[in-house]
Formats: sequence, structure tokens, C-alpha cells
Amino acid sequence: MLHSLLSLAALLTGVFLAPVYDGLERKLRAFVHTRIGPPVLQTWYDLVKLFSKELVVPEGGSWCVLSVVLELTALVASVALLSYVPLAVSSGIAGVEVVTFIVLLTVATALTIVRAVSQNNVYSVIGGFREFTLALSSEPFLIFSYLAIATGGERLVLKLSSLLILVISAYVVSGRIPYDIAEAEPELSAGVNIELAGPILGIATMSTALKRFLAAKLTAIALVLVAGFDGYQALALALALTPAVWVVHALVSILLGRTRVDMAPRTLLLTLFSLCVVTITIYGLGL
Amino acid sequence: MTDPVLKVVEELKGLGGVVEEIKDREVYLVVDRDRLKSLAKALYSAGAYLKTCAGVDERQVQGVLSIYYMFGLDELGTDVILRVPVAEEDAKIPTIVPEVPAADWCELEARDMVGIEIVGRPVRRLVLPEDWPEGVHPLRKDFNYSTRPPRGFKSEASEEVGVPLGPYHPALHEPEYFELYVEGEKVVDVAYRGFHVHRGIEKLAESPRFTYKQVPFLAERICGICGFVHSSCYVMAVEKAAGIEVPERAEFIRSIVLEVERLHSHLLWLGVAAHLLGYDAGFMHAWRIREHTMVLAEYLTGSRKTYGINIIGGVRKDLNVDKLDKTLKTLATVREEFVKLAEVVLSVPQIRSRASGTGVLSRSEARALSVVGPVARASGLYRDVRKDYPYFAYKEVSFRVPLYTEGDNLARLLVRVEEVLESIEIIKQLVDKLPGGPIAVESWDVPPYRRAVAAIEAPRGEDVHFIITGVGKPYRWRVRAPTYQNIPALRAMLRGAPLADVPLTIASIDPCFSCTDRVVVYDVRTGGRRVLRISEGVSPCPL
Repeated sequence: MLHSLLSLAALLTGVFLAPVYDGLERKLRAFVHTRIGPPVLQTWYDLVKLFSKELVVPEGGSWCVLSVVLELTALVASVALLSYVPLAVSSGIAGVEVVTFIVLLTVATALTIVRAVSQNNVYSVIGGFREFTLALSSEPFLIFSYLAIATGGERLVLKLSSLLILVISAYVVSGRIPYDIAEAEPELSAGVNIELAGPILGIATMSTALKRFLAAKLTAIALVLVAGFDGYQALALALALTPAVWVVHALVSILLGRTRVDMAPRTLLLTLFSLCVVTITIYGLGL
Repeated sequence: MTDPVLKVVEELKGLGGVVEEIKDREVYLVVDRDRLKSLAKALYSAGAYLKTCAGVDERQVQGVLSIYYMFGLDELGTDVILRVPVAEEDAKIPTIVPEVPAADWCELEARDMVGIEIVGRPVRRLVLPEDWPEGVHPLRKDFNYSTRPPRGFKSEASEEVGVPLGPYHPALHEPEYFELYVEGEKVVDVAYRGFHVHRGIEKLAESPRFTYKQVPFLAERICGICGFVHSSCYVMAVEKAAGIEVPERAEFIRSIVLEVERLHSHLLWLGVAAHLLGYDAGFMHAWRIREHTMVLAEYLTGSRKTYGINIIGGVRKDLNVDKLDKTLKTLATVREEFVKLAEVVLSVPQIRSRASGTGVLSRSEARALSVVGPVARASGLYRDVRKDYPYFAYKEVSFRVPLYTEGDNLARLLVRVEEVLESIEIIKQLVDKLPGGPIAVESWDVPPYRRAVAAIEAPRGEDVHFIITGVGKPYRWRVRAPTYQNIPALRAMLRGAPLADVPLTIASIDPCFSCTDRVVVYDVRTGGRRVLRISEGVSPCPL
């Protein structure tokens, strides 16, 4: 019962805070740009406005609407489930929660791709394929490292090595520069989102914010688990650490440029695969 | 006239050219159309670049239609202009594109605007829209500027078939229209259609509502970024044609303002390039630094842009000690901040990796297409009008012309970065050496039917204005902006490039169009085609 209540609280906090953190990121970006920037709640204002617009169903019709709604549902469920992890780790039953979380996250990505390629718009289709390429180059490594951390027990070296993989792959999943190639405004005119408007765009915007929240919180949880915390202490620490991780993500994206569609998977695969080999070696050595 | 120039002239005379006029840095020859090809080939072989060509309706003064081919002997600092007259009833001139590829566009423009048929090459409409009536040529003297011939709207939207691969959005909010033929995300060929917002400015300047005095203000409105270049080039052309001696102080002031304009233009471009590569921090800081130059321009001229200080025979605004002090202080700030910015931008790994080795234009292609400005200098061509044909006060200052041989996007970026620093040094020298005296001649007169070619190094490259004087206003005024010369090079730069590199490569020539994007993507494997955004009946053409 307590776990369910905590999960509900985490869910509500996550849904409310994700757009606020996004507003913070915009403010931070403006600061680095020497601009004033929008108010911190601007992303919420944007969402309220988008949801007040008329419903325009893009070409691709019900597939698009269905996938965008299911994607949000999967992400909301992921946020709720994520709060279980520190508790589950401390009680030794991490497997189910972790696997369910991974499945939901993967489904959300798959739905983004389905939504993008179902559009009768070439920019959207190309964006969908780019999203697919990125997902293939990052999500398997995210799953691998997440499982290793959640089930790594007291093997600190193994967990540290896995943490490195998770930090990189979680950043890629957040869809920020240099890995925003599925949208890449100057190249694809918003790519996967080009056909979306009004409430549907609002849902997609919320999904993006939640995905970034997940990426930040997942990294925060991994950090506290590797640091040796568990249970409610880990949960509280992870929640407190999430905005800090978000800020770091934001700063990285501000300081870098966009990668190219063929460079991104090559670099990612090379880096993450090498790190995985190192991690497996560490596992084999029993470190 | 130097010996090497006379030697070239003698050779041209031997090939059938007849000298019409020799001026300080210009030689005019009249050529029979049957001998044009051999003369063009000889000039090209002598190292000349085709600056542009201009169709002129000379029926009122010579009873013929003509095309003027303007070649520049950069190393000798002299222009050689070939005039090819033809009778109206037999208005045909053989193409020189096989000998001089850079003549492609200007030949087609002469065909569209003056109605001279170009023989021996595929022709298409370049400037006039497809639905413009046949036989109506706007730059003929019997065509009134206010005439609006009936036109029928055509749409290509119903022609779309097949499934496209690889969309492309040019990312520049100007009316360029590129058709990219792709295999997957790899570009295999490119076609371009421009001139969607052709304003007929040349024709307008010939209309009764304009006089010599007013045209500088019209010329300055050709471009919202390098407008002062155009007004300067126009007044220089008129001054050369009329033999007006401009006071030295005015020449210094013009040079200072031209360099301030270059600073703001290059900073603007650097910001856009950073934005296209997703590095918005670089974009914002480049434009923040640019703001200093805009404020400086306002302080010096009264306007942030479209300065309006050029008049024939001088300038309208003088510089005092306060303005000069402020200029030096601003330059110190700009230099300090720009050096830091350039260092940061060039250290961003994505910018380095995406600009290196992409959009390559070889030296031979650059030479054949007569590209200009930073595009030429990044491909190893030492071309800078300020050095080759020193004008205004540039002969009084020393500066370096940045030169790279890689021909890629990074080279073009580096050329502009270095030019910013050189411009700052040029302005400092000009301020230091600014002479006293008047800023404009007291009176001037422009005799009719005099000709002159003027060229100024704009931020994007060589800007050329050709003028034939008339009574109270130009008889013919031809403007060739640098982008006109550089766009055809995009085909060579884009072939084989990934779609993701196309925006940066197009931006790397710092193109100057106006405000609509239209793109068609072809899949060459399936022959599938889809029109993404297209408006009125325009048909694209190979670059």
C-alpha cells in the first residue's frame, strides 16, 4: 500500500515537474545565450494553450492519435514504475520492475516511430527512421547497464562501469542535441513532430518532457544505487538529484552542436559497445 | 595601360576584336558574333574570369541589340569587355558556355530579358516565370516598367507521384528552390530555380521616375545585408563613366563603412552556420557581438542598416573625432569578444567534424565557374577585388587575404573568421590615415552613352555594376551580385553529400535570396517524385 502511494506521489510529481524542469532548462539556455528567456512555467503555459486548441488529426489519422496517446501512457507508467526500483533493489526483487520499466520505455520509443512513419509526410518518415537508428544505438545499452546496476549487488567496479554506459545512453534517450536528429529543425523541419498540432502536439510535448524526466531520474537512481544507498533513502535522494541531472543534461546540450545521422550511430555503437565489453570483462573477473 | 594588357589586347585584335575604347582599367572591344567563341577562349586561357554578361537594347543609340561580356584580368587589374552587337531581326549569338562555363546564367538572363537567342546550347527560362508570355522582354526599351502582361497560373501540385526518399528543407528563409535527386539520404544531383521575387530594379532605374541622384538609394535596397556595397558600386560605376574625381576623405569614409558592413555580415553568417549545426549558443553570441557593429553603423551613418550616405561624387555624412574614437573602442570590444567566440565555435566537435571535408569545391571547378569571395578563396583562388582592382581607400591600407585550398565548408568558415579580424585592422588603419578635406564634389555632370564597369568586394564576394549612361538617368544598369556567381557551384558541392550536410553547404556560400522555400525531392532509384512545397508554375532547371 505504501509503495502504491509512493508510486502515485512520484507519478504526480513527475508529471508536474517535468514541464517545470523543461522551463528551467529554457531559462538556463537563455542565460548561457545572454538572453532573458521565457518564464520557468512557460512549458506549462505552452501545454495549456495547445490543449485549448481544436483537435486536428493529421494525415495518418487514427494511427497517429492512438500512438501518441499510448506513448504518453507508457511514459506515465514508466515514471510511476521507476520509483519502485530503489525499493525493489533493497528488497531483492528488482527483476520484474526493471524489466517492465524497460518494456514500457521501449514501447514508448516504438510508438514514436510508428506515429512518425504513419504520417503522409516525408520529413516525418525520415525523422522516424532516424529515431529508430538512435534507439537501436542506445536503448539496448541502457537496458544492459540498468540491469547490471539494479542486480549488481556489492560489485562496485562493475556498477561504476555500468553507470558510465547508463549515463551516456540515458542522455541519448533524452533526445537532446547532439542527438536530436529525429527532429533536427534546420534539416527536417521538426521531423517526427512536423504534422502534429493542437492537443496532439501537446501530448507529444508532454511525452518529450516525461522522457527527459525519465532519463534524468534514471541517471539519478543509478547514481544513488552505485553510491550504496537503497530503500526510501535512495528514493528521496534520487528525487532530489533529478533536477541536478536535468541541469547537467541541459548544459551538455547547450555546449554541443548537432551530430549527423550517419555519425551518431557509428560513434555511439563504438563507444557503448567498447564499454560493454569492458563491463562484461569486469563481470567475468568477478570485480 | 600596362604592357601585359596591351599584349592581350593585341592578341584579341588578331582574333578579330576591334578596340572601341581604352580607359585606365577597362578595354572595350566590339566583336562579330562569329568570332566571339575564339576571343572568349583566348581570354579565358589568358587567365581571365568572366565577371558577368549583360544584354543591352541599344536600338535607340546604335540600332542593335548587344551582349556585353565582362572579363576580369585579375592579375593585371584590368577588365576586358567584349561587345557583341546583333540586328533585331536576327538576334542570335552563339553560346560561350563550352569555353567559359560561368557564362551559363548570364546568357540565359540576356535571352529572357532582352530577347537575344543563344545558339548552340540547351535553353530554358532563368529569370522570367514559365507563364510569362513569349516574345515579351522586360529590358527592351519599348517595354514600359509599369506594364503587367497577362499571365496564366500553373500548378505542379497535381503531378506528384511515387514515394520520395530523403526530404530536405534548405533552412534559409529565402526564395530558393532546390530539387535534390537522392538515393537514400545521399544527394546524387541538384537542380535550382530562383528569381521568384525578381523586382525589376534595373528596369526601375531606367524608368522616368528615377534620376542618377536617386538610384544610390534604390541600389542600397537590393540587399538588406550588404546594401551599402551596391550603392557604393553604383556610384563608383557612374563616377568612373563620368570621370568624376571623388574627394579622398569620401573614399576613406566609404571604405570604413564597407568594412563595418562586412563585419556585421560575417558575424551574421557565423551565427546562422552555428544555428544550422545545432549550436545555438554560438548563434546567439555571434549575433550579440554583431550588435556592437550595428550600433557603430548607426553612430557613423545614422542607420543600423540601409545607411543612405552614398551620393554620386562623395558621401552625405562626415566623421568627427568622437565618431572615430567610438569606432576604435567598438572595434577593440568586437575583436576581443570575437576571438573568444571563434575559438569556442571552432572547438565544438560537431562543428569541426561536420564542416571538415563536406561541400567540397575543387580549385578547377571554382575556376571554371568563376566563383567569387570567400567561396573562391576557400578553394585556393586568390581573388579579392580590394587587392586586384584597388578602389576607394583600399590602396592606402595593408591587409592579408585569407586563402585555403581545402574547398570545404570548414575552409569557407575559416576564411570568414579571418576576414573579420582583417576587416578590424583595415578600419583601424583607415581611421588612422583619414585625410581632411571635403566629403563630396560640389557639382558633377554625367555625359550620355559612357560606359563603365565597377566592382566592389562585398562580404559574399565580388559585386559588379555595369552602367551605360543616359540622359539624366542610366541607359542600362546591370547588377551582378556575388550570389549569382556562386549558386551554380552548389551543384558541385552537393553531389555525393548526405542530406544532413545540405543546409550547411548551401549556407556556406552565404547565399542571398529572399523569403520562400520550395523543395522537390526525387528518388532516382524508383523515379518517384513528390512536390513538397511549390507555388506558381516554375520549372526547375539544372544548375
